[in-house]
Amino acid sequence: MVVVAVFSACLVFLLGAPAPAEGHLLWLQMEGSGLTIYHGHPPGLGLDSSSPKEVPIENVLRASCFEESGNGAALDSVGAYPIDFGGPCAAASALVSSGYWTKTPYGTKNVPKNEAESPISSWLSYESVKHLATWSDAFAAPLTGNLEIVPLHDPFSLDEGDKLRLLVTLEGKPAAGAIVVYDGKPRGETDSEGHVNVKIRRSGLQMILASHRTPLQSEKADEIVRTAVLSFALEEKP
Amino acid sequence: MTRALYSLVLIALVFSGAAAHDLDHTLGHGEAVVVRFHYADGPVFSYETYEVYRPGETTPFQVGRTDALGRVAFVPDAGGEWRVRAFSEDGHGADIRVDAEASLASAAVPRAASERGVRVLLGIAIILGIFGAWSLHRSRRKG
Repeated sequence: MVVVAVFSACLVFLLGAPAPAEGHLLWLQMEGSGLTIYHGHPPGLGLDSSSPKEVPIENVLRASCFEESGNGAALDSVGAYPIDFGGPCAAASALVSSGYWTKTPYGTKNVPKNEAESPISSWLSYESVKHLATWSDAFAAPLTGNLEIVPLHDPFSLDEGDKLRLLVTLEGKPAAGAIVVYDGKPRGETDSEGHVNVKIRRSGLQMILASHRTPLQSEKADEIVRTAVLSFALEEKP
Repeated sequence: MTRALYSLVLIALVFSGAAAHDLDHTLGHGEAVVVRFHYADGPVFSYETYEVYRPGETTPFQVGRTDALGRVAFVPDAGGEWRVRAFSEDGHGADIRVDAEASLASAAVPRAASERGVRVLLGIAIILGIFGAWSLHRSRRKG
């Protein structure tokens, strides 16, 4: 599920004021050649970042480190943080799954639909995250088969107010109908070619999210919910 | 006779005990603050845990689950900034502040709209009334 911050005012009687549910942002922290995957609120977004949590290492399905050429090393099983790639990464990505989730009248439970009491809806969750430390033309194409947000031009050259053209892919192909969220608000849905534009609204850490749903014929879940995060940092320009 | 008396006392004790554990209720009308939680991509944050706190307090004023439409409704008994937390087991959540007075004041908006509607209807009724009186007066003069 896509997650966001920010709340807007409340209202009375039976008109409810909408308040987006936040939390659970995934981000990568690279220190030297080591990589750690966190969830919570990353520093620099103006949210409470006091308690970031490491993503349970057993939920990490794959972690990858890419050179500027686009060549990379992928680890399918990781034992502990930090994940060591033996050198710095120009880009890094990770795929995480917390498994099956089922919404019930008693809350959302981390079990398949066929093991839940009074299931309402259910999904298999995959979350991917990609961080760009620098730009390379090789990064204007998908680097993984995960749900992935691909900037089609150098995002580091952008200023506040500039538009960033994005391509969202799944298994390397354009993903139509993915909802893209930036700074806590939905900014659009990808077209039939997987494209969407996002206007950059500030400097600092940028986190762009996309979510995509695929129906699933299974007794365990109704659909696969994939979310992807693209992060990069924009320096404040005078 | 004595046995009958004991029976009466026993029945009285049983009923007095039951009455003490009865749960009575009263019905009333109040203005509620309603907050609706949803994900940024649309789905409502339904059936998830929430807590509502009075301004400055750490013990929840109200706890429960959001309804099927992702709403939390509470009736504040004091002004100030109330805190509403809603969260799910899969790590999503929101922690917001609600100004109770401002929220309740905004309830006046729909009322004002309905008052405006009543005024419009009243105006139409007056115009129709004047037209009717004029028509009656005119038909009498012709007759």
